[in-house]
Amino acid sequence: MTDPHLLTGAYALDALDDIERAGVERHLRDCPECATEVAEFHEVGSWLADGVALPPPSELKARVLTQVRETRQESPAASAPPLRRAPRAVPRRPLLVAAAAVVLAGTASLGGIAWQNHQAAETAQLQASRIASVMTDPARTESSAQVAGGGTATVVAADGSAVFAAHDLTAPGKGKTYQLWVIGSPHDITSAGLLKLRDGDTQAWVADVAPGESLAVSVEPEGGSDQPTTTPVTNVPIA
Amino acid sequence: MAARRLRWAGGHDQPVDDAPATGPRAVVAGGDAPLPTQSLDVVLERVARGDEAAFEELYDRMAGTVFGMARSVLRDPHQAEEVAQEVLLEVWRTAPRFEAARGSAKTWICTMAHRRAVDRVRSSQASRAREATVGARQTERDYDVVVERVETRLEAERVRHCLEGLTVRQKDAVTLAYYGGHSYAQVATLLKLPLGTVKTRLRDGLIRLRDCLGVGSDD
Repeated sequence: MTDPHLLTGAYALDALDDIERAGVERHLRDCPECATEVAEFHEVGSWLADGVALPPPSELKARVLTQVRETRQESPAASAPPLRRAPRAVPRRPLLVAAAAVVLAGTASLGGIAWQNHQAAETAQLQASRIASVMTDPARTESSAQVAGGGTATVVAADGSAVFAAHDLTAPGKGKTYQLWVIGSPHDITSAGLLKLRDGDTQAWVADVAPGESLAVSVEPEGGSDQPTTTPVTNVPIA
Repeated sequence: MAARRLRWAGGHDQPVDDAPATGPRAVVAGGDAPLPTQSLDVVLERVARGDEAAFEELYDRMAGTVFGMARSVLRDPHQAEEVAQEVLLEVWRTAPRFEAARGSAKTWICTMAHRRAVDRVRSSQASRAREATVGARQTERDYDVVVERVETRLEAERVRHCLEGLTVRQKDAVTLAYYGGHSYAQVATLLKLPLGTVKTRLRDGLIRLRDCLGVGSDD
């Protein structure tokens, strides 16, 4: 990853992807100067927000105040919210939850958008926190490999789960999809789900992996396969 | 960490017309004790204790900023309204957890709002349609609109001045990222620049804005 210190600007402007964001957040805890810089940049952001203030729709106020009356406040935090890993209450593999943005791909009629966004936001939060757990684990390992046909894939693993991220992939082709696999041995290949691309990028969180295994991607017919039917385009060992 | 340095002595939390209790506005007709407007930090402390009247005051002072910024990022007024509603409710819900030592109430709210608006852009179908239509020309037009709006608000005079103090390229990058909600990779594509250059430019631009605005300069 780029020197996290140089990413403070992009971080404060919410211009990073989840993986980089988690990396910067981890760095901020060890780098008080960077944390100060980010805090100052956020304050700059509040000035910028001022610059585009607009009168809100008049009915918004009544709606918000009504909700406020019906909404219970959180209790004060004892300290800063912990970034430690949540207790593991996750299903065993095969499990892959594609990143939030991807959940929505191809859906949405107008009426459903608000609810879908809500769900996407929840999924995004869950994903982000799982991804952050892995990305901020001091004992995490990282390995990368090229992807045949273009792009790079990276696997970051910690404590039995892994984040798979790939960038600059080409589209798998019409009627085809990328499928992620956990490979324990040539006789132990388990699907970890389908990968969806967004602007050539994809990321996924995979539970229940171990060092010595690897994460591989193959091109499969739409809907996926039980076992790989083509030669993997990438195979990244879990270090 | 950042704590103390964050407070800017001038306290831009205060809308311009809150200013000192010298004008006629300061005295309520009928002789009630004049109530100088509280800083937003103080209002948020009251909100944190469940004070709904304080929340209404906070709404009146912040809803326009939250909505306008969400509108700028999302473009779609309906989505902007939804995001503003979510954020303002979130402010109510999590006010007891606000830590004044980590920054001002206004910064806290704006940071939350920008993140939400950007999350919405990235997770919504809208982003796809949007990317399809955002060409450089469109971007220039959006940027002009932003600048025009900035220029028409007296209290944002300083922001305008400081934006003008950036290099054209810094201003483009910061504007596309903050007001446009674009990732730095998208900014790089739109400006036809290498990724590393954009990262540096965003940071340099923010540093210059920070210094120009006097953020964190009170110690």
